[in-house]
Amino acid sequence: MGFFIPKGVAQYSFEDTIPLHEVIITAKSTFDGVGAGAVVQRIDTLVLMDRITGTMGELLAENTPVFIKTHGRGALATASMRGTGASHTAVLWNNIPINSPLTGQVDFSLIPVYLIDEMSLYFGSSSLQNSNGALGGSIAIENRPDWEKGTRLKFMQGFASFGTYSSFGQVNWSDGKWSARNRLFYESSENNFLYYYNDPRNQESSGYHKLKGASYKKMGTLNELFYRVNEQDVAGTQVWIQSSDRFIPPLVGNSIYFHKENQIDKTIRLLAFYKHYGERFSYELQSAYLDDRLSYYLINQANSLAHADSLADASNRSQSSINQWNSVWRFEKNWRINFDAEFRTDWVHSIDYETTMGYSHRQNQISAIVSVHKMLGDRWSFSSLLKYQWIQGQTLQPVPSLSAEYLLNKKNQIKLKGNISRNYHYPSLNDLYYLPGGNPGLTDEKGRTLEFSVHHQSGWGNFQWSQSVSSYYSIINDWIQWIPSDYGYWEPRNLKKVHSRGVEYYTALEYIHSGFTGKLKVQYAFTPTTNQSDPMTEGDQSKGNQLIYIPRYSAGMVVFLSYLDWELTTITHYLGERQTATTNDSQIYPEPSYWLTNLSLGSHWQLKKIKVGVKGKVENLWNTAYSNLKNRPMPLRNYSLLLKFEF
Amino acid sequence: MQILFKIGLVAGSLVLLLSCADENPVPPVDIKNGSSVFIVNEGNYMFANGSLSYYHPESREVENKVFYRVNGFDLGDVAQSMYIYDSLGYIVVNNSARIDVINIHTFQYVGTIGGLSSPRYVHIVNPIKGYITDLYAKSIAIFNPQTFKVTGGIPVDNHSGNYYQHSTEQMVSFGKYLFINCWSFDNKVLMIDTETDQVTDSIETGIQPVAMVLDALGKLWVLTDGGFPGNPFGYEQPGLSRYDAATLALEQTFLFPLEDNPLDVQLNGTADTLYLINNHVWKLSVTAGEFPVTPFVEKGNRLFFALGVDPVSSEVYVSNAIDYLQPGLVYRFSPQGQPIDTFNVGISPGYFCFKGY
Repeated sequence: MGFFIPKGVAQYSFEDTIPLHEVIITAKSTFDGVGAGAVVQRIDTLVLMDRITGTMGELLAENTPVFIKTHGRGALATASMRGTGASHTAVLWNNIPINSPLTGQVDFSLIPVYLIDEMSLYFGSSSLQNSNGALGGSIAIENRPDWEKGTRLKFMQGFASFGTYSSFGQVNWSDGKWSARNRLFYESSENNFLYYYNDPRNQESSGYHKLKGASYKKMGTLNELFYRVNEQDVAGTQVWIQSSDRFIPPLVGNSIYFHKENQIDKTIRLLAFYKHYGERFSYELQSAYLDDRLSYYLINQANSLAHADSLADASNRSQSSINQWNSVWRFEKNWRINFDAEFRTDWVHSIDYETTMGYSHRQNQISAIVSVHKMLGDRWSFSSLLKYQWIQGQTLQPVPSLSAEYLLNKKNQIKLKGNISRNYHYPSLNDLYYLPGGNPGLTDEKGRTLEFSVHHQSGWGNFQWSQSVSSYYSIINDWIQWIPSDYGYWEPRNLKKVHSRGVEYYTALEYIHSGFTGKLKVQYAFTPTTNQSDPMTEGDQSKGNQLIYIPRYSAGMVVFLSYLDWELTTITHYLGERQTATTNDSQIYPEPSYWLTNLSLGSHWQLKKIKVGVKGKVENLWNTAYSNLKNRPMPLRNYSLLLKFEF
Repeated sequence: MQILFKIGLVAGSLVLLLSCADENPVPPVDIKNGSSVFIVNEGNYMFANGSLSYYHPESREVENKVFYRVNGFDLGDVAQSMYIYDSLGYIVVNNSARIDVINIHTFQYVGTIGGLSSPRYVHIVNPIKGYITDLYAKSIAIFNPQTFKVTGGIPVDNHSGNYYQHSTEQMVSFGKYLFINCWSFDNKVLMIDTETDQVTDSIETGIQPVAMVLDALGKLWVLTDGGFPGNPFGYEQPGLSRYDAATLALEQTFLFPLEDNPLDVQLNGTADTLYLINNHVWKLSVTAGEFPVTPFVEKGNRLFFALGVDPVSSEVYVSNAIDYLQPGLVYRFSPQGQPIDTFNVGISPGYFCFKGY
């Protein structure tokens, strides 16, 4: 669903390289868009700039409490917010949900940070206004027009370890009425990094190994055209085309003689919009077409004499048509009503040519949201929301949400926020119809959530300090889990009752004084997410245990220092242990925790009309041998260099 | 304000505390020799957590994760089956594309047979020749048990344009012949001459023959699972069929309801009684004219996954995979169905391999 911030056209003037000081939206007026009680974290532009050549998955893993489960450098990466599953995080591109209708998930390794101008995280029920079924929360990425008159060119060239080269080009043009921006990128990597593996089966090869069969190529373009109809109206189109070709290595320790696993993703995303920003009434009309194609094959060859065995040869395609209406009416000084509606049709086709099994399906969805926001005096604000969804003619239960916010201390901007809500996640089309295993009898996952948070923001002289503590308790019933069926293949079932609760702490300190900027940000998440279902069978010990691959603890710290033309950034990230079984049995070892630190140093200077920048970066500074998923090694210490030119 | 400082301080301290990770201690394995059973625990696909458990019936003691504890490294991804020949145990690790060989008395790692695609079962014909079946290779690998090298293969590709055939599974010895069932999208039992390494004949069975045994009367019992809804190869009633091993003639079939999914069939030590899992555990004589009405062991609130019968005592072992994602359970019954013991093993206990001495 659309999420609408009536900032006014004037606000549409952010250039993507202007650092935004505001990092976490705590002091925003209720009438600035998000409802009362919302917990929203906006990603600092300097963080986006630090990861400009990376992926959204890498950025989220380093800088946010979102857990990214990655199968390796450049490989599939899915997200978990607040301990929920990968399909419980919605991703919105300029308000358009881009989760795959097949899996309900997003591969965060395929979203380049370069194509993102702004990114915000909407935790828990804060996502209700902008997305459907996001039990964990939503992540909004946005593109902003650049109204600065004239033509400007930007070019960046990256060189990194493991034969990684990346090129980024951008052309911006505007006459104040029209604005066009075209971005283009190409990245290729041999991705043949060293990892440590002790292989007692073959003493000669114990020690450091070079990863084979993991190379990738990615390319894409984002073309945007905006037209300022008048002072209150903007129209535009955005076209995002991308393709990636990745090889996937076998699990470390595999004895296969020859393994070739390849995945090609091709994506087309088209978006047209018209926005009107009125004094009292604002609206936004958006229409999008999404087309995702994925082809995958896996070939094993047993030995040099054997022929190659084709284990899988699959093709998936999904097409979506999404139409949104988002509007806000401010009929009194302290009242606001939002009304949003979305009409969506998905067509999917999935086939494995080896087994000749597959399915095709078409699904229609309509959703409508009304939310009412009221400010009472200058300390209290309230929001209520009601959402209805119809999927294939079936009416889901209404989604209600009530929240309140109280300004406890004006000077220090101390705010208390609370929310109670329900949410429902409808099964993905693979959950319902995949062959073999799809289960058309699945029901939606049902979440009930209670949230409470405290936010503070203050400043003294050159200091700015903000912090927040958020706590939540969600009970999710009918949690869908894929398990082996009686027939041997896996099938999804509404198996579990899951309690996801936790605490997130965030603080940011900023000091700016005569050419010097210093920033310190620390975030910490405690995420006990446990299975509370009654035993499935005799002997089931899983009740009360942490879900598989959901870390209980994670933390991060960013230190940013800049003086005149120089910038130094260090990002340290901690990921706690992850369970690999549903019980805490002593014979099953969890995936170990790890600390990672990245360090980058950059500078820029003006050469006549050309602004030149250079940035060097060391990742995994302490040379930690680690993996995010078992037997999927990650790189040891590695380096990159980025050259930037602006005309 | 003070409270906010404190929250920050506590959170920071927690982060520091949590950085101290524990080392996992590895307890030594108490190996009790004599008649015993290895339980091969599949683990989860792509989790590389297959493991080996060892149960000593006399003392009723179980040791889990013995391969790792003795050797210091894991078995790998999807441990499928195990075969004992002399003093060596051949553990098939399907998705790691290898067979790890151990000494069955010390559990010490001896070697690896590589050069495989998706191995399923091992059968050793003589001291210098063994066979390995494979889900995807369309070929049965021939290996030398003395060198652990693959020396050749028996092609079984039927060049079907429509289905990936033949996958090969279990091997049952009949004189100089071997019967091999082809399960995945298939309906064949192949017959191989172990002297010439040639496919000499085949039996057309019901859809997806999942397991088979050869009884004392020279009859081959083939259990078919009937496929599944939406299976392009077909979906039919599963069944248990009896073929004469010499003539390959079909003699009898017990059909089960369409929605059933039988998993495994085993023989007792004297090869005159069949045990099979079809929801419950069933027991029938090889001469039975009717399928029994009452199960040998009621399923109850359990998810029966694999079956083993001790060839000496004829005691019956049945595993419960629970949710497939936690250490499973094994139930031990007397030949008459009396419960004797219950013990915890590894994740997805899928195969029992009996050691006679």
